[in-house]
Amino acid sequence: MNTLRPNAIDEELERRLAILAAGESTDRRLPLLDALILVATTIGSFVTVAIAQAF
Amino acid sequence: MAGDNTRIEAALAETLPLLPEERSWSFRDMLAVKSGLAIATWGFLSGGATGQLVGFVDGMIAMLCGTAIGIGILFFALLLPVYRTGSESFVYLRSAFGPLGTSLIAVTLVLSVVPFWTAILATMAGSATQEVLVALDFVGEDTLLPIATAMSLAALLVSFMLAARGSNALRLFNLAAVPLLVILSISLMVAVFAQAGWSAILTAEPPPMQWDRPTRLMLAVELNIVTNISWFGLAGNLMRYGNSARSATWGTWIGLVPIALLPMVAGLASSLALGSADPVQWMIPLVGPVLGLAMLSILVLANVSSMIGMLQGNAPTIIQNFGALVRRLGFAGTIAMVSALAALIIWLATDALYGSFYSIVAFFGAIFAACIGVLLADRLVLRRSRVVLTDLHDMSGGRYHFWFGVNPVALVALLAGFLTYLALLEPLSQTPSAAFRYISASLPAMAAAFCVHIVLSRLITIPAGRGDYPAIAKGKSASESVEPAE
Repeated sequence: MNTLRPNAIDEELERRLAILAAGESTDRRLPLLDALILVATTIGSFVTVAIAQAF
Repeated sequence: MAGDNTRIEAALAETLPLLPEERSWSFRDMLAVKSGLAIATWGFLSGGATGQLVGFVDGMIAMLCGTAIGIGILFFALLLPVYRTGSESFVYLRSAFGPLGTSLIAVTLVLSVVPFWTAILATMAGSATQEVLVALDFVGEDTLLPIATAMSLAALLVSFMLAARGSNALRLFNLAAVPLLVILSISLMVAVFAQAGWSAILTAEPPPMQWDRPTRLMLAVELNIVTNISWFGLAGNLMRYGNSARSATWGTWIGLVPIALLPMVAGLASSLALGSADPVQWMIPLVGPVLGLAMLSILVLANVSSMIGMLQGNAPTIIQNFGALVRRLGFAGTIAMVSALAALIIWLATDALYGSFYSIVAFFGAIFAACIGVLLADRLVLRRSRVVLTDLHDMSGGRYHFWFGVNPVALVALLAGFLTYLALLEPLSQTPSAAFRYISASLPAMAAAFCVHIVLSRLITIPAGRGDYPAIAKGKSASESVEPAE
C-alpha cells in the first residue's frame, strides 16, 4: 500500500473537473416516462398497504 | 475502467466525479452488481424478521411494498441526482448540509453502519463455511476451535482482496456469481414450499403480539422501508457507473426490489413453517447432504459478493469525506481500515451480532429517513435540482459553505425528522404510537424534515444569502457552469 502524495487527489480532481467542464454534456436525466413509472410504483405501493390494512 | 489515468490508481480516482468513459456499466452489469449486493443471508433474515410480525400473505405485501417504497423514495432524494452529477453520494449531500456538516454525518453513519454490516456478512459466511466443513468431516460438530470466527475472518480477507481491486473486479465477480445466487434463492424457496406445503405456509401464524393486524402489517412495512433506505450512499456510489440513466435506474431497481425479494420470500416462508429464517440451520436437513453442501457453498459466495459490494461501494464515501489523513491511505488502505474494524467486531462481538441485527437497522433507518426528507426539500423545492459540481468539491469555501462549512438549518431539520420517527416508533423495542398504524414512522419523519428544512431555509438561510439557493442567485452569470442534478 503506497502512501499518496498530499496533493495527488486534489490534482486529479482539478483534472477531472476541467475535462467535465470542457467536454460535451451528456443528458443524464431519467426520461420522464421512467420517472413517472417510478413515482407510480412508489405511491402505488403505499396505497396497496393501506388497502391491505382495510381487509 | 482506468481510462487514461496515470496520476493515481484508477480505483482511487473513481472516488472523484466519474469521467464519461468510466460510466460504462450496461443494464446487465448494474443488475448483476445490485443483485449480488442484495442476495445474501441478510435477505433470508430480513424475510424471517417480517415473518415474526405477520403471516405469509401480509408478509409478501409488506416486503414488496416496503421495499418498493424505500427504494423509490431513495431514488428521488439521492440516487438520481448522484447519478446525474457522477460525484460520490455524500459529496452531493454537501449542497444541503455543507461540507463539514456532511463529513459529520458521513463519519457517524459510515463508521456505525459499514464495519457492523461487513462483520455481520462475514459472520454469516463463516457460519455457512463451518457447516460445510462439519458436513465434510473436516472438523467435528463439538470442536472447541473457533472455526466459525476463523472462517469469518477468512471470508473478510477474501472480500477485502477483491474489493481493493476496484469497480471492474466487482462487476466481473457479480456477473459470474449472480446467476448462481438467483438459482440458490429460487431453489431454497421451492424446497421450503415443497417441504412444508402451500397450505401450511399460507395458514402459519406469526408469534402472538399485543398489536392488532393493521399495526403489525405497518410494522412489517416499516421494517422493509428502513432496511431499503439504508442502502443510501452505497447504492448511489455504485449507480454512478451506469452508462445511461435508464439502465442505471432499472438495473438498480430490479436488483434491489424483485431480485432482493427472492431470498426474503424463502426466509419468510421458512421462518413461518420451519421456525428459522437462517438457511444455514435448515439447508442440509431440508435438501439432503449433497445438494445442501452445494447450496451452502453458494451461500458463502453470496455473502462474499455482498461484502465486496459493501466495502467497494462505501470506500469512496470514506475517502471523500473523512479528511486528508484517511485520504492518504488510498483505496486499498481505506478498505483495509474498514475490514480491520469489521474483524475487531467479529472477534469481540460475534454472539451479539445476530441479536442486534434489526435494532441497528431500525435505529439508523430513523436517521436515514430524516436525511432523505432534508434532501428531497433541498433538491425538489429549494434548489430546483440545480447544483454546481465544482462547488460540491470545494471544502474551504464556495456556494455550499453556509456557516463555517455547516448548514445548521439542515441539521435542525434532520433532528426534527429523527424525533418525529422516535415519537411514532421507538426503533429499538419497536413500540409504535397510536398513529403509527396509519402513517408509518419513516414517511412522517421524512415529511417533518422536509417541512422544517423548507421553512427554516426560507426564514434564515436564504435571507442570509447562504447556500446559493435560487432566490438569492438571480442575476448570477454562473448558469453555464451549473450542473442540473436531475
